Amino acid sequence: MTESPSRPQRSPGRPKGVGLGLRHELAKELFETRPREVAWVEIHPENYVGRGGTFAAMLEEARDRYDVVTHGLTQCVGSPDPLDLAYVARLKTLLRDNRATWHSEHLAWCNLGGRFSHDLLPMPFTRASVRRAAETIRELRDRLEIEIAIENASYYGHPGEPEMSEIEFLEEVLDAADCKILLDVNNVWVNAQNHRFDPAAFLSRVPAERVVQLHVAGHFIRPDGLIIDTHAEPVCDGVYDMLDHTLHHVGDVPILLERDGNYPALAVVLDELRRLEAVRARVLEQRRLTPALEVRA
Amino acid sequence: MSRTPEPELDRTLAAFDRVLFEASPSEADLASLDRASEHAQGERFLLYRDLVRSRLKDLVATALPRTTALLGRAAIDREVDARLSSAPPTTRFFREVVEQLFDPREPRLSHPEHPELGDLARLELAQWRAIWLEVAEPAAVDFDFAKRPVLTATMTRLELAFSVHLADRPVSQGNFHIAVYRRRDHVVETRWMNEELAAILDAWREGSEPAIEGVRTAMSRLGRAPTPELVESMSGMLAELLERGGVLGSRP
Repeated sequence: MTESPSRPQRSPGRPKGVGLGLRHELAKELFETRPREVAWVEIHPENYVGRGGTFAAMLEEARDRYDVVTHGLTQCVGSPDPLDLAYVARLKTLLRDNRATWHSEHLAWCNLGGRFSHDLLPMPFTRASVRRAAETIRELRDRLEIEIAIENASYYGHPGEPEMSEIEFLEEVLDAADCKILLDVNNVWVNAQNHRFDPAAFLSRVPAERVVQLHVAGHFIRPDGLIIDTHAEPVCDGVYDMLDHTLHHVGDVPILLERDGNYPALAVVLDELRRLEAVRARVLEQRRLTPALEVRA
Repeated sequence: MSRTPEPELDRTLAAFDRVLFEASPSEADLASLDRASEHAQGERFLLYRDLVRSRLKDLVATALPRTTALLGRAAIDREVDARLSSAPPTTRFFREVVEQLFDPREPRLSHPEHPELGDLARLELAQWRAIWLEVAEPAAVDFDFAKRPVLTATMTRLELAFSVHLADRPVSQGNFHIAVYRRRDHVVETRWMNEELAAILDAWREGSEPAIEGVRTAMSRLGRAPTPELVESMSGMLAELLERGGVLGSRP
């Protein structure tokens, strides 16, 4: 295990450094060994709301050991259905118990007419979608009484005719809702490869002051070259490069590694976390030195 | 609060929804979604259909491993496909989808060579539910036969006609009385008991009378008198359930 001198202290509701998505498959070893590489954890609230047994115990243990951040899967801000107020009330209780200062959901849709796809589906990049997302984000923020961050989603096909580019869509939603963003660097990379745009240019346009958290993950490349956002493979070099670029742009923002399948040994995950921390430490040091260099110049 | 209508957006999402869940996605829906794409025939939206369905099928197969082994994965997949076309999931909780997409009473699932299939699926569904069920356990004090018993709310009782609870033995026919519950250490326990113990457990689960009266009620229902052997086996079951958290104690 590597000692990380830059590992931050706990600060409830305001995690710092590099965290890991809490998954049942990794939790036991994580709690037993409490590696220094994991500074905080992120949970999907749907896996804990209304659930007893192991997961309830796991959440209690996580709260004892880590700052716990929530990232929703089923209250996508593009869904046409009204908010499920009973669920939102239970989510609010969970956020309060976590001492959360923000909650994130996806800029996507996942339910219609009461039916849930249990997958994240792309919203059309249109003004109607901007209005829909902004309306939902504002209502969710009002009801949860907490800052909402939206995550840019990966997508494989655009439904219907777009009225703008993905980055324009993101900018318009952030402005219309006046909300935060959980910037998923892997999703930008995946979309850039699948839809042929420059990921660095995209990332540079994201309003840095709205970014509260970053995601990184691995993905699967099909034989035909299409990239599927699986979170079940190691993070690729291109995503590490984009993380470097992003951190130069947004500064010291908490970074989360998502792993949702093909679980390796925890030691392998910790290797990835160390590499992420190394990128973070290097960029933050460069950012610290850069103003001084400019002064000297 | 309902969402402000956005007619064109909602038409697009409705077409997307149909592509995901209808038995056969229509060419018209695929074409309407694919207007901006260079990918012919809606390939990318059929990919979403496949991703959504694969994930749900994997979940059902994971939750019901022995049922899947008996029926075969292809049959499970066909059943989930059929259910998705008629009744897509209506729960946001992934764990609850299993019961929505697999119903052992579904006539399509009758299997002449494996009449035990329904019992097996019922057992596995009960075990799956016990893993995650959220319950508010009532307050309990030390067990006292003179007081009303408190059992864990995670407990489900099953009456099976096939010995599917004995996973490592050939299936036989009979009357098998089963209790499935979540132990204190979160492990799901499947307990097989005889008819008398099952009747006592049922009376205790009702929780309307002191435990000792529950024993008398159970024996009365069976038309039998308690025997020393029954008392001994009941004591053994009670000790086990108290230790593991099947019986939490007595009402204060």
